[in-house]
Amino acid sequence: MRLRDVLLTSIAIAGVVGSGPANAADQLVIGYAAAVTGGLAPYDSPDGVSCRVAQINEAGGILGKPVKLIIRDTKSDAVTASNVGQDLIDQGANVLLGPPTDDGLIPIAQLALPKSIPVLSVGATQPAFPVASPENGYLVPFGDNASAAGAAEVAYKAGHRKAVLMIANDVGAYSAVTPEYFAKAFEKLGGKIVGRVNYHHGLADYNAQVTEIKNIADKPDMIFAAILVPDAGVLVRTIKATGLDMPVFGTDGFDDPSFPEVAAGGAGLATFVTHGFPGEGSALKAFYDDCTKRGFKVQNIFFGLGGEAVEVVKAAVEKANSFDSAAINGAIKEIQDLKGITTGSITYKDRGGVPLKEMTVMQVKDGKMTPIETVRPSWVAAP
Amino acid sequence: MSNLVQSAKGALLLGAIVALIAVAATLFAEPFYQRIVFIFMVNLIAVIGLQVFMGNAGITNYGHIAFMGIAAYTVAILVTPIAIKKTALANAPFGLAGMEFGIWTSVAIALLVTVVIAFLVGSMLVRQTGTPASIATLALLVIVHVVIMNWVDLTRGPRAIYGVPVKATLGWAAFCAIAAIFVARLFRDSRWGLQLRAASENIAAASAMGVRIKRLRLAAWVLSAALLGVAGVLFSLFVGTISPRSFYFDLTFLTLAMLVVGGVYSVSGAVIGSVVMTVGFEITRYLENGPSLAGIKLPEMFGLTGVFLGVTIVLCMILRPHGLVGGDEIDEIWRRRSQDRAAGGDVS
Repeated sequence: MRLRDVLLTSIAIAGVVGSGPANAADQLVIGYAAAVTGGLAPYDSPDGVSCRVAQINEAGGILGKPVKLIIRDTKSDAVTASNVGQDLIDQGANVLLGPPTDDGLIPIAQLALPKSIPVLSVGATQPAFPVASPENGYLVPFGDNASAAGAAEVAYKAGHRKAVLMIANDVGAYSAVTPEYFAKAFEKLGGKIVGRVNYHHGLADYNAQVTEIKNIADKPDMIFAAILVPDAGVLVRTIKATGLDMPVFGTDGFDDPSFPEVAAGGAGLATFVTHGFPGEGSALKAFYDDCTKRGFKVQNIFFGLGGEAVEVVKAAVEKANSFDSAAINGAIKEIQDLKGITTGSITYKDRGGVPLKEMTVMQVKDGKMTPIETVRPSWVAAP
Repeated sequence: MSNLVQSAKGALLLGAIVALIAVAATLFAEPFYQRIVFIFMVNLIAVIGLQVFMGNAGITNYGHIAFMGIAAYTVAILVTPIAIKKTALANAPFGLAGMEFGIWTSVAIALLVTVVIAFLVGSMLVRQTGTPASIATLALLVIVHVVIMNWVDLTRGPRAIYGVPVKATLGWAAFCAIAAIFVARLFRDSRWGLQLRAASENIAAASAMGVRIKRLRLAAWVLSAALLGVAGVLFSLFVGTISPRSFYFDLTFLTLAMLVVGGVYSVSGAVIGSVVMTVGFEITRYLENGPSLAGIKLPEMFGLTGVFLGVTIVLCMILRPHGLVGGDEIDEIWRRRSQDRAAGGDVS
């Protein structure tokens, strides 16, 4: 008996949910397959996207029509991501925003391709996604290859010529591949990579690594690490404590409010390239302030990138003057020098889905994160 | 012999349920729900594979998803077109970067590799019982995961392998699921299955009766791995993109929960656990998105599915520690009930 009930229920659900309204292209429908829960949740921002959509709708929408936002949770799982991607397509989304990892993004882009629906990742910095989905896959943040190239230029300009790379294989491609992008850009400038040191995130003690760096015969004058917090802080603190005093360059993994405190005395050794900084008078600060007033909670820089994703979509729809997916997809590829929320300039034209963005170089001064300069690398390694 | 006829009949009943779900999905469901049903079939095969070893040998298995991963990766590496391999797997060892196999060859090789690895691991594993054996299976899961994460040239490491041709259809998945039900059911009720279950209850008595426990355990282990290999192959050929995260703790515990809720000791438990958990997940997933029910707008409650998983397991442990189905197959329960009723009728 129970079996029959279960069966009937499942068929009934399929029927009920299957009768949802089909959406004609008379309004922009943004479908967002977001990592709302699970391990990837810090790198996605339903709140940032919702806030920007609320702002736009208050100001009259896009092309005079309110924007509809549908959010579905991927639970940080690749298969669920592709399933909810299909759900959003079935519900008539003209544009999709996707989760922060390529294993979820690539299948969504594949499902969206027959309808030419563009898929933009709010949080992913891995250029592998647009490479695998060149027709309709886009990053909203810079690619790791670009941030590494930015770090290389800053390091070279500061007079560094011999770098040692810190490599870890335990947090996705980020900490393993970004140093190699740095190496390519640094060598192109005329620098030299004198060693590679392995580590794992979660080490309470980086003395072994620091000793290994000290013992490299061809003495390095800097370290590059695409390392995440809190390890980033522990690493520079250890370097300071052992008296090595070698500068550490990195990318957005350092960008967390907890970094200066964990790094303590070593904080001053770090220089890193990140998406943007909410300084006084900046667009990012204004966005954060307005959203906080609206009751949203700003968790980190991905909140700003969420808003920026909507900004890119808005620019493309207005340029295409249409809610048609294929037209929007074409228009994204033409975006040039768009003023964003985290950054002053975003260019997709001829970038193969990985935008060229102005990036912010940060250091810790007097225990506070301080933007030093902005950088737009002249040469970026192929992904 | 009549025993096996009975179990084939039982398998037919369970298979009919699966077939009905597949047919209903093909006829009525939108693409999204067809995807859900496909993934249900894959999970079902994995849960049945898990049941074959865990239910018969009585050893809790945490390593089953490792075989799913091995098969999924093998088939993906073999079947991916050379054009994509040039960018994605340019440095693949054994000359694999310049090779591209047909779909059936790839599937056959993937299952063969899975079975061979299962045989080698199993030969060592079957010497242990109870907790040490369970810990060994857990170690297997971690080892396979670490190898996939670090053999970057072959597997792309933590990055996803993409471009796997999406060839699997719902029909194939349903066919494999039904076949898995038959295989598992016939094994369970065969002489070997019976001996193995006897040994898991009383190892001394069983070996005194001449049961060759290690050999039977190995057979169950390899059969289980083969079924998980099928699940992995279907997964790879349906999603088209795989990464190491897909074959780790999340899926391990999801499939374990399905089996435990349904009942470890029967194939019916595996099927019913998978159905109940999938239906429950989809209902909670529908609710957590904040739908309007009967005119009332519900709030968004992301995370509800996780709560459902936890609550179901806790309730199940309290109310039905042996799972919804318990120790017997549903057709056995059915037959006993009708016999009881007939007997009761005689008395009155």
